[in-house]
Amino acid sequence: MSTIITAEKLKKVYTTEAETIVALKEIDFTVAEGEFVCIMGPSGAGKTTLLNLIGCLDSISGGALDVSGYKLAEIKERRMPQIRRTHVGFVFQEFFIIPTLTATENVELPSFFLKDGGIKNSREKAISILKQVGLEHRLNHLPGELSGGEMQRVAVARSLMNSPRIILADEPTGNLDTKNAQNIFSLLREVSKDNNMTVLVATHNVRLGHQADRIIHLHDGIIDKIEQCEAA
Amino acid sequence: MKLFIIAFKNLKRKKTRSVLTIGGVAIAVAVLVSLLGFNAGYQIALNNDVDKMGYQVLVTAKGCPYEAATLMLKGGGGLRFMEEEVFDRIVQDERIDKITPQLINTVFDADKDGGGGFTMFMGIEKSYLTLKPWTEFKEGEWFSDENADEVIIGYEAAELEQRRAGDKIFIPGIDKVLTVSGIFERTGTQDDGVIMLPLKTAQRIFDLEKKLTGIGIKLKDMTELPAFEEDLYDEASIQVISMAQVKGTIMNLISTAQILVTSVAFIAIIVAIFGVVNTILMSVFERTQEIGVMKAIGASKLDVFSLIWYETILICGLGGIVGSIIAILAGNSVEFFVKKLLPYAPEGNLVHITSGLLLLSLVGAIVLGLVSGIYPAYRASSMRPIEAIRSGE
Ligand SMILES: Nc1ncnc2c1ncn2[C@@H]1O[C@H](COP(=O)(O)OP(=O)(O)O)[C@@H](O)[C@H]1O
Ligand SMILES: [Mg+2]
Repeated sequence: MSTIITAEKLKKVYTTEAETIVALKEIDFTVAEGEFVCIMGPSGAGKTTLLNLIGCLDSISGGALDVSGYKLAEIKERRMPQIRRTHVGFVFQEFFIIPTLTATENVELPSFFLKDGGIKNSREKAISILKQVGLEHRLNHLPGELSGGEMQRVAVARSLMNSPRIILADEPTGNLDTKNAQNIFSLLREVSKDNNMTVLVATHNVRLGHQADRIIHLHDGIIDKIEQCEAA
Repeated sequence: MKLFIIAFKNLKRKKTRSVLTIGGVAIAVAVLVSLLGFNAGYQIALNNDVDKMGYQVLVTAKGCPYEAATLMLKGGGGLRFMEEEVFDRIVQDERIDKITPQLINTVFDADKDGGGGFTMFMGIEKSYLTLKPWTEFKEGEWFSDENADEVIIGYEAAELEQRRAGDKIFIPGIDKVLTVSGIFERTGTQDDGVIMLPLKTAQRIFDLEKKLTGIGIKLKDMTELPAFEEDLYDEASIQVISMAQVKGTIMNLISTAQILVTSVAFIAIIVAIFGVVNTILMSVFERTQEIGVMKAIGASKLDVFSLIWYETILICGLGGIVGSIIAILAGNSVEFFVKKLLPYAPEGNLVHITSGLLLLSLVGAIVLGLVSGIYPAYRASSMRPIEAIRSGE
């Protein structure tokens, strides 16, 4: 298997007026293409920070981070949106789907941002992804008419729209009950297997974490250990 | 195009706010369209009025030219009198194509319009008809004699007083009964409200022997007008007013009113711009997280800028359409007020709204949207995605 993410001495420092916080302290790891990896650790460990760096949402303070062939430490900020819309898909804890758009429109949305004409039959593609995540009966519903679990499914579907190579999910089950949490987790696993997509999930749910291929244990900006899981 | 639909759906999020903002733009556009429409309409109506007088030059007794210009348009001459011999002299001029003398007098009628009012009488000669060849009789015919005790009544005056040919009319204060020999068809000019009688009769019954109030003249060649006027300067007792001057004078009179209305329109536009900027900015700040998410899932600065820009353009475009509709519907009321307020209002439609004007106002409204959208769109596009997303925590 080829490597899709490589971090070397990756460092992230936040400088605020009051203080300087080192959120990631020179961490090293790799992720293989198609792998399903959990990033575990308590609140404040640096999980979100790491996903943001991989997802091209923030600048790197030191070291190197290669994602899907891009050397992110050297990339200009204005090129970042292009990498975000073609190479990564985001899923957030708070779902963050647009309340004025229907489920289908929300899923279709990322394709509107693609340059060179976007996806030909984006509407059909959005519908087929929604079917894939089990929402064929909710296509024209507005977010307000969906349950939490359904909203997160829409968000997962949206992250798949532009066929990225990597899905980044930041505590995607944090706002869901146990049953829905398990469902979303299984969905992400399925998606990863079916499309050979690399999935990184930040969570502090130990039971879910152990369903991943590997777990990166993060603590205070340092990788404690990297654990290979039985289930994989 | 797809972003446009998203922008449109966003307007429905806060319906009241969107409607109020669109309303603000609509009012500004309505004021502006009415104003411009009025400008165009007034010009056209005034030109029509002046052209329908049939003469290009009016000779009157010396006096205030403004007063003369207004009075003349209201009925054909200033109420100062000149000697008839001036007419006999001018009529010799080779350059004249057509010429007609007039004597105007107003009589107070205590019964008119309930509270009393002035009725205008105009003494004319047959040459009046050659200067106004479009004049037709609705009924009856020309005076039987140039000294007859007869009148011809303008269309509206006849309607108002319910007169028919053959009726007798009484002129208050003079104790004279005259017979209606004819009634003119509507001409769309001030003459519609006038009662006409033979010049000689008018001079006799109003005790104004050998007097005239004005002489209407049409030259064979308009280019000779300056020289013609020049020659008449030597006549001490009269002044020459050309219709071009009259138009200029009246446009001057209303320009003050126009400046006032223009400033109101200008203020309305400024207020509308602030309203739009405020609304969009508020909606941008409320959606900070959402904008951050859009950026996280791939929206570029330009995408976000366009999205917000489309929203302002939509608000202003809708405001433009609604405003135009209001302007068209309100045209009649505007006309009513304008006619009450202005020193002189021509007959006919004063507010002239053309499709060109509507197109212009719509384009104007969209430009307004483009301008007021810049700042909010810039603010939205320069938000940093993670900070925007974290702002909700
Ligand atoms: N934008 C920021 N500015 C300053 N400090 C930050 C910022 N983002 C995160 N941090 C700090 O960095 C550390 C790691 O945060 P985070 O990556 O959000 O942890 P986790 O997601 O594991 O809870 C925390 O101490 C947090 O307070
Ligand atoms: Mg976090």
